[in-house]
Amino acid sequence: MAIREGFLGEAVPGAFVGLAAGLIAGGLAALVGQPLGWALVTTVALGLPLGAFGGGFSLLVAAGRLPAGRFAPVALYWLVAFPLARLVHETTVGLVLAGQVRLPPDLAGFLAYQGIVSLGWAIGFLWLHERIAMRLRATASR
Amino acid sequence: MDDPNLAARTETSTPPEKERVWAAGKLEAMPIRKLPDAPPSIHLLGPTVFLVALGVGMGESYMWPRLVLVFGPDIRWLFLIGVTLQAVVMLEMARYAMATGESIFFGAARVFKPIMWFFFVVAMLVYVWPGHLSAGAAALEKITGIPWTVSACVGLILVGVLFSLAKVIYNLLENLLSILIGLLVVSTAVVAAMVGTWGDLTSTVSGMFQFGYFPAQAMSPEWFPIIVGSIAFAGPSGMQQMWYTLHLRDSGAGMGAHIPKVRGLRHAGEEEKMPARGFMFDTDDKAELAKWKGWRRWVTFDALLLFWGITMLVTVSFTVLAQSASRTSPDVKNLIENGEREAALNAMSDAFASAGGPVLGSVFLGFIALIGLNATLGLFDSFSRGQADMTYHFVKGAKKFRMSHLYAGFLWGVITFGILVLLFGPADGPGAILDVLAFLSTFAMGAYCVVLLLVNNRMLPKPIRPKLVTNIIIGFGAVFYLGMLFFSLVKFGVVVG
Repeated sequence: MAIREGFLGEAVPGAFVGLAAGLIAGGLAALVGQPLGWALVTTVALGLPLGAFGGGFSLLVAAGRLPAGRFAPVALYWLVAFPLARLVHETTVGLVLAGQVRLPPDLAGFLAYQGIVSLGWAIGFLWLHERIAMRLRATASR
Repeated sequence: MDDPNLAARTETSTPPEKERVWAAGKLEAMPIRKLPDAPPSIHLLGPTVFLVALGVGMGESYMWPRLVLVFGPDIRWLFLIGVTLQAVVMLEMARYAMATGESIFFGAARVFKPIMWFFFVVAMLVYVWPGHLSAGAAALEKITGIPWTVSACVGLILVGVLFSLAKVIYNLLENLLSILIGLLVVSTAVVAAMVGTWGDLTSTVSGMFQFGYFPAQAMSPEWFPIIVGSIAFAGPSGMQQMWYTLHLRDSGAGMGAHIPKVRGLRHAGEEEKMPARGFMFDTDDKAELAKWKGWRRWVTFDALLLFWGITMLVTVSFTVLAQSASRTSPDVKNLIENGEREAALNAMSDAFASAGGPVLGSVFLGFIALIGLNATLGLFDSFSRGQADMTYHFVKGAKKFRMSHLYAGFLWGVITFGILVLLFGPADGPGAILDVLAFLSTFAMGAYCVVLLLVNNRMLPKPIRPKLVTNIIIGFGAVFYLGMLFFSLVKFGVVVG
């Protein structure tokens, strides 16, 4: 059980970065006077998928399935995961605000665009992920 | 190696009996020491964060989006050239700093001391003015209502106190800037993902490859100097690349591991004795050269992915946002084309707000404030670091002080001057010398390309000198910066905009 808990703890850096991104988007929305519900939906609908995928990435690194500190695997991972997270965000916002599931009008264009943006997201994700993981390792070894 | 400086201290305190040296120029020769091992894998945490903090600024968030709105996305090929050139410059700056543990200023002094003094004077003239605070603080004023001079003055004092209390300034600043830059990059990507479209992105990216596109309107006294300034501001501008050599050294990269780190004023007494010159490794030893290649791989990763990649990401994202905004509010193009910087930034913010809701307008201003904060933190540290380095090594009697004391002296000097100017004077500098300052800033970029050619080809051992292609690119850089600057001056009688 202890081993399992320790292993799940490895998910923290990636999950943290993903959730933080959702929190930033939602927090800014609340700050400028958007309805609280809208801000919450954005926080949850974007933060949860990004956090889940981020945590998944950290676990794959911890299990040795992905090499640590390399850009190409991170970029490939998010090339798939980021557009999916955004799709979840878009459809959830539509569902909550309009009451029905609506896909983006040009789905292929939407996914392609998100795929390109994912490269930028991957740089920032890896940057923060490495730093948080290093800090956690240093704390754990003390 | 857990603590490179520990190893360095041990080595410097017990030099080999028969010391071998590398003589470079007329200054003291560099003793041969071991090159530390390069990081085992390509890891992300490097001093590039300083260059990104300094480099990602007004050029990326305002100047280039503005040019795209005026001339269309095809003008961006000039940005591609500017940033790529800066990535090569960064690699060449790193070559000297990692091989010797000396700053590029020291290298310039090895070639010809007056060159170094030229950069000392340029830094004093150009970087003491607190004008760089105004855009970020004004954006903060729009969001919070706090008058910008108040937040700028408080910010200045906070920066001084923070740096004075730090045990090792580099570590503090790297940690702080890493988080800020990480947040900037992640937030920029998320906002661009929510607002932009495939069409905006493809036109922005394809515009980067329209080499030679230059509309007639751009060749006018009104726009040409602005384009020259925007190219100079693509990535790090002025002396920022030169300061990067000091950060690289303090991060312990390459032979920088043999040089003690600069400490905050409170911990200045703990600083190890600063050697009077750098060190060289044995370039005849194959094992040492293999380590050198490891260091070059490490810094190349930093230059291409982190520096080039992040600069591109931020500017592409802001351009996509600007295009999206101008589509929603056609008035924005005129406002941006005609307005002053602050008016144009506000116009862009309003346009973003109308395009994507009030959240987007404030997000834009938030980014500008964050970029301003990054630049200010980086700039104050870099300026003080550079001036202290030159003073310590080349001003008679300065070695009576520790490097940390000199650093603190320059830091608090520029802060005090900055506050006085913010309260009583023109923030950007006296109007009469604004053109001179803009000229010097761009001139320094052409000049450091020449310095790089001289230093790396004359002061380093042959096995680690740059290849011909690299020399051609840096030579092109010198002609590019100086040529555009003088062309603008001669043809239109205006320096950069």
